[in-house]
Amino acid sequence: MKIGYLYYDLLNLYGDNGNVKVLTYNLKQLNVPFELKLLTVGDDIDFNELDFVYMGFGTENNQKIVFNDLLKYKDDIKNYIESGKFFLATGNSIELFGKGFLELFDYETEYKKARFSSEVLVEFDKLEKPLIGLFNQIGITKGGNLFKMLRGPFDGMEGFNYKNFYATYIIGPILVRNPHFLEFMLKEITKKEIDLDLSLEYTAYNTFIENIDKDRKL
Amino acid sequence: MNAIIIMIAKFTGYILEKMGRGSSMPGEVALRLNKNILKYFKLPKEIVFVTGSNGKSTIAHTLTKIYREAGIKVGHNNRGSNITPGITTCIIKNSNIFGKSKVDRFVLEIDERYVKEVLKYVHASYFIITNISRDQPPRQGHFEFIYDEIKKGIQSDTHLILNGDDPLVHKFAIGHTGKVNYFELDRTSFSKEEADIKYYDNLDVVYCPICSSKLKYSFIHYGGVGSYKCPNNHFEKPNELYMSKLEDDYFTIDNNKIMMPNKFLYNIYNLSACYITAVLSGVDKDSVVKSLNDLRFKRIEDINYKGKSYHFLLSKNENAVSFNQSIDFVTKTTDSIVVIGFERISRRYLERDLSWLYDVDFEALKDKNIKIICTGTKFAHAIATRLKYAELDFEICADSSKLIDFLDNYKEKNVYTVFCFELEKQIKLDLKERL
Repeated sequence: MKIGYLYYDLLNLYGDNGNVKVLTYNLKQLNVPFELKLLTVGDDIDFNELDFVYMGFGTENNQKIVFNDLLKYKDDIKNYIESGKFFLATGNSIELFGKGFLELFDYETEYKKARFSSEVLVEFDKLEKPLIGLFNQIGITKGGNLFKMLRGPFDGMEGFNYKNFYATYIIGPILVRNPHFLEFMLKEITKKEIDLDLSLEYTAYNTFIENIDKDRKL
Repeated sequence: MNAIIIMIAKFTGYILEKMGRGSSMPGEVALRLNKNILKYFKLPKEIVFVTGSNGKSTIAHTLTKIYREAGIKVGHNNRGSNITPGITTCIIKNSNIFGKSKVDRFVLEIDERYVKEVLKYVHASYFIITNISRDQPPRQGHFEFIYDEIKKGIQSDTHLILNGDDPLVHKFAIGHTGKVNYFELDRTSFSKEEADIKYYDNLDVVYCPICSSKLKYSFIHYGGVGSYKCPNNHFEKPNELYMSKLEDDYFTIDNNKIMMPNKFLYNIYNLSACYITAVLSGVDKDSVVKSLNDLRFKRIEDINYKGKSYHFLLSKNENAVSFNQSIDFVTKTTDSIVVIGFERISRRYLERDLSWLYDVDFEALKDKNIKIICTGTKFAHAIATRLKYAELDFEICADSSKLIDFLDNYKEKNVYTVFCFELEKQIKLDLKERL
């Protein structure tokens, strides 16, 4: 399988590359052959050859550079998503597929006056346990359907899912901090049962959840 | 009225000092009574501001020392408060009640986000900017946001002293009408050459600020700091007058030899910034060189216990540059154990995000024959997870109060701790009690 890490040099603000590291490391453990393609502005991106695409979090300026480059791939990305291939977008790259940008989906970004940052706890209906993460953004997506906010700066739904397109405002290595979400993703991608030693990841996750009320009111 | 406010503030400071407490309370009191109080002072012409994610305290301390040793009276906010009340406190302390300064100059360390607030009232003759890096995401937003915040405060006639090897800092020079000088470091034997730069090296600014073309790096020192060039020749490492060169245990700048107080590469930037600012603001070169070579502070404090030498590499959480500097240092040692850990992420806020660990180049520890231990009740496993993905071997001692005994299992003679303030303090205390 071919993994495309799109705009790896522009959208990588806070440990986003951790998602790529964790994905490739565990594919290796599962003996799934893969190739990682680092793609950015100026490259000729062939979506037909990709099976999994990842995009991370960038500054507003870099987001603009990326958007200008993405425009020419609008139809390619549409076909890619419609064909059921995998796409994971974290942080503000979620904005790029909604209204005001590529307009592949109907969700909209409402920009706040000031940047806000917050720890969040969200519910994903395909998983029993909640996901943890951090927000650091100016916009809020209206019309999301992926995660239900359990704790965070607002209520309702966050993120967007259509077929195998997953986008969330959560920044950083979401697949590392949420090993159950990593297992879910790997299972979806490989169509195999996942047997990995993720004990460190689970201990880290459980420690976080155990201390969630001790340190602060989220 | 303002004279009375200053009197009240000075009295507050006097009482607190009697109680043995230095604080920014006098400034807070004065600002509460008149939020524009800074406008009232008749300040000296020479005021140096220092900001940036890393190194601003070192630079402000060192520059103050250079000035004082050259016989100049300096006001300096060395009590640690680098936001508006702290700076106001420093100015009050060094002025009489009519707002007239009792010093010849000020050297003021300032938090990146307070630049625009303070520079509204105070004129900066020199402004040193060290670097802007990924730092405290819950508080700082991101580095371009910090860039914009600083930019808003910069006065057009200020003489900028910039880190020329950091493209984001160099960018402050674009369109600036005042003078600009750069501190820079030439290629060293430790430089990461073009072919070895990986996608996860996280160069913060990789595109030309003028034409948005991808910058070409011929080498990097660490993080995004190094030698870069726009393919269309709009923007590149300045390669100007004050190029520092690393030699064995010293570096050269402007044909002078400066001994290194420790082996951290970033110290060259800090000391070079001091050299340039001091010389440009009229201090005799020989006097500057002498002061820099006499530096005795900020050495790594070693503690010896049970046949092991403990070396403390203070590393700021959520600041990948600070961590990278420590990791880089450890990779150059032998017979070593490195302990990485913290018990809490920040003193300023409660967020417990660890994304930043993925911006740190732990991969540099690979194949280095260095033992690695993770510690911290709440975070050891999260740190270990990060190391797992760097494909490193490690052990976990989650309970940091048991760390020193845990280290008995190892034969290595050097222990390098990569800790934040609190854990460093705790382990030092623990060691000193055993001695």
